[in-house]
Amino acid sequence: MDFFNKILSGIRRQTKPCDPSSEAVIALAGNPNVGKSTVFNRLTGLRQHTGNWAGKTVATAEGFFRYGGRRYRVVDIPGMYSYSPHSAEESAAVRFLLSGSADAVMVVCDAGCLTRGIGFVLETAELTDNIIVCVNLTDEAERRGIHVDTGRLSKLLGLPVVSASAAQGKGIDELAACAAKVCSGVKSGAKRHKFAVKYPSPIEEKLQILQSAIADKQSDIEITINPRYIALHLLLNDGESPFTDSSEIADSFSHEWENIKETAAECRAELDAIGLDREKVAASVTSRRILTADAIGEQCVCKDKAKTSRLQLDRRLDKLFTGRISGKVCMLLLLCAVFWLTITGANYPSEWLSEMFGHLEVHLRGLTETLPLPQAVKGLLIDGVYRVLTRIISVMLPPMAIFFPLFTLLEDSGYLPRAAFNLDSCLHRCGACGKQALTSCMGFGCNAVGVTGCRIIDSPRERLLAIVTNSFIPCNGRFPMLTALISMFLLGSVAAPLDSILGAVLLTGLICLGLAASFGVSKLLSLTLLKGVPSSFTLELPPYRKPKFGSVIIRSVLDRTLFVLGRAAAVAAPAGAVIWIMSNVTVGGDSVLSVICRFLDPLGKLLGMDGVILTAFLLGLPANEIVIPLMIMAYMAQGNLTEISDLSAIHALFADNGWTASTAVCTMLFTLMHWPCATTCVTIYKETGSLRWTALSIIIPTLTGCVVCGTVAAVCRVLLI
Amino acid sequence: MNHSECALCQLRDGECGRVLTIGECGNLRQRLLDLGFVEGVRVRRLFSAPSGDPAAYLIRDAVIALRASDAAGITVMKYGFFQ
Repeated sequence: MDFFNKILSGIRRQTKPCDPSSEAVIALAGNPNVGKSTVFNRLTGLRQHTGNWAGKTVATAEGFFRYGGRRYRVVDIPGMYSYSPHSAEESAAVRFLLSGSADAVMVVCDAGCLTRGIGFVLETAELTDNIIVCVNLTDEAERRGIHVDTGRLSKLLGLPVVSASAAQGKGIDELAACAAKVCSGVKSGAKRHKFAVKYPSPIEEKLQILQSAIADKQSDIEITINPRYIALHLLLNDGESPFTDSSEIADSFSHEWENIKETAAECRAELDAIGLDREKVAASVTSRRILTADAIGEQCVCKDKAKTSRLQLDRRLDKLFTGRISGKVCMLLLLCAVFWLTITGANYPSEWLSEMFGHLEVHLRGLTETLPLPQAVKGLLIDGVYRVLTRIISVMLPPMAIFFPLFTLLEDSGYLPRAAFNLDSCLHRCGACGKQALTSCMGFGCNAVGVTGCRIIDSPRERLLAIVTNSFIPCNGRFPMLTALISMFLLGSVAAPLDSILGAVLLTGLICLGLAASFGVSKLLSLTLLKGVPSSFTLELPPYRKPKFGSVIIRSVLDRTLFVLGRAAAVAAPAGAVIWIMSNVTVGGDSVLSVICRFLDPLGKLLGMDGVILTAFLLGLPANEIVIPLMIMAYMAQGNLTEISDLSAIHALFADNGWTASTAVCTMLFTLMHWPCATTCVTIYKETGSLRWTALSIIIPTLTGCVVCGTVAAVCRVLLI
Repeated sequence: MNHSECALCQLRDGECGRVLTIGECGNLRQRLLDLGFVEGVRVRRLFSAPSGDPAAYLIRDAVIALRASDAAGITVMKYGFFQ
């Protein structure tokens, strides 16, 4: 996997030049959704995005912290259930741990679900001796009446255990101190007496034989992981090396490999002879480990039966959110509510911003008059760059700044996995994976992120389905476009208070249409290009968590909104310049822009739009945020309107250029279904590694959009004539 | 309460059982084992999705959703509705 190699080479490259005694690497491992990213953020002071669902971290993140004058590199790896990986993200995590790049592994456990965490610790303990166990989310567990005796756990496991509540910042200093201690133990070579799972006797005997065979050779081969793990892996995988993918270790291993492989084959044959085939061994090993973990957990976890009200609340919420009727109603109502808040809330700041920028423009214009610049440069800067840039901020920023925090609240609360749970049967029928609902949700934020998120889907076929159909979900670049078009053309017919509700309902309808399109295309693809039976899937439904409003708002406004806006602005400034040049450079008496627009006009008309709209979509390839500002600019370049102060002025401008309700509808549909933005295309190529699938991811939504818009336009023409 | 063997997916909402065996589940087998579906572990079906499939099961303090087709391979000893 090149993703893994990249991490590996990155770390090697960065660690080699510096003095190894000055820096230690700590890997942050654990089951999914136990708060690894929160621990990571607290330790390193970075702001890695967190959320309440399994599979949120799909790529590794790195950060540093200092303790006692030494630098520690912390690597946050994706969560996994065990060392037998299922999905791409999990195998990357496993291979990172196997590569021996980490001096110590910090295993994060959920105090509310400790036995599973202990099982993972026991498995990790077979791999390395340098482990720090972090029992996280203790505050949440206490509220549920679950108390963990960490002292006892530490004694039983023979490993250092730190209790923490990373979200509240509790126990982080202790964690750092403990990690430092374990890492210094690495240097002195001190061994701990740690607990090891004893497997049923025939398996344990073979393990001992293999283990000592490997240990004999270990001085020759440079591997830092324990022989017990390798022995177990050999027994479970028919003598296949655990290092198939990290070639350096595999090379050094191969010299001694044949002997060990032979011993492994002998052991396997003997086990087979007594009726223990590979699957039985796997089941027996896993079940022994899990039952051991349960036994340990029983001695350290104290459950207060009286405090189960939180648990009952969770079940009641589940009943509401996944009920036969209430589940669907809640989903639509939540979507509607989010959109309503966004539309209503975004109107006023939008107007203030454009008014402010209008005033600023007058001053700027005055300022440029005093500068000795050629007229063309002034026009380029003010009419081109400045106007497109400010329009993006005034049209796009307010909805983004409201939608993002709302969405993050939903994400933090634990609702998203329930939505995926509800939608699974639909996706199952379309031959897709239920987790596609999660990646679609990520697409609301940014399609590129959604595409990367598809790594949580195990089956390659279903992963491709999710990647190709992700762009049917309007990302936040397209989303404000839809709200703007809805408020301009489809509202205003009913009384004011109902207006915004109608807007929210229309938007919800559009989103549902996008979802339906993604389902339909999934179905179509799984019947044609991506034939296959739906594979199995498991989805964890985490406990509901009360989102922390303050930090959510700050985090999403600062991190996500500003990041996305920054990207849009970076694209908008040159795009504004390009379109200004295009509208001012003339070819045979006509501007280049109007020539292009006129060329695209017949096709645009066929699709219920016009040439200008299509041109704007084409130029908006780098970032969809700039499509509306580009349209305004192009229309203004053609006409003589110069003052655009608010949405009603934009409406007037569009109406002057022949826009009707049907134009608006077609434009919205095309917004929903056209080629993904450039960033997304690049991400698709990176994720699939195939030009064919990247091309299909562009062609399929575009074709769908053309068919839908063409049909709607034709119907409108027939109805209106 | 009557003890009887059945497939995991045949439990009704709220019913408990103890895992007996995991049969042919293809590549899902190891994942199910890792999640705690091993012999002797208690499992309880909590609730189902609007269409009845998938269903959510409580196992070792975690809530895991499984499709009926995947849960069919797990045999449990059913022991009714009580805690």
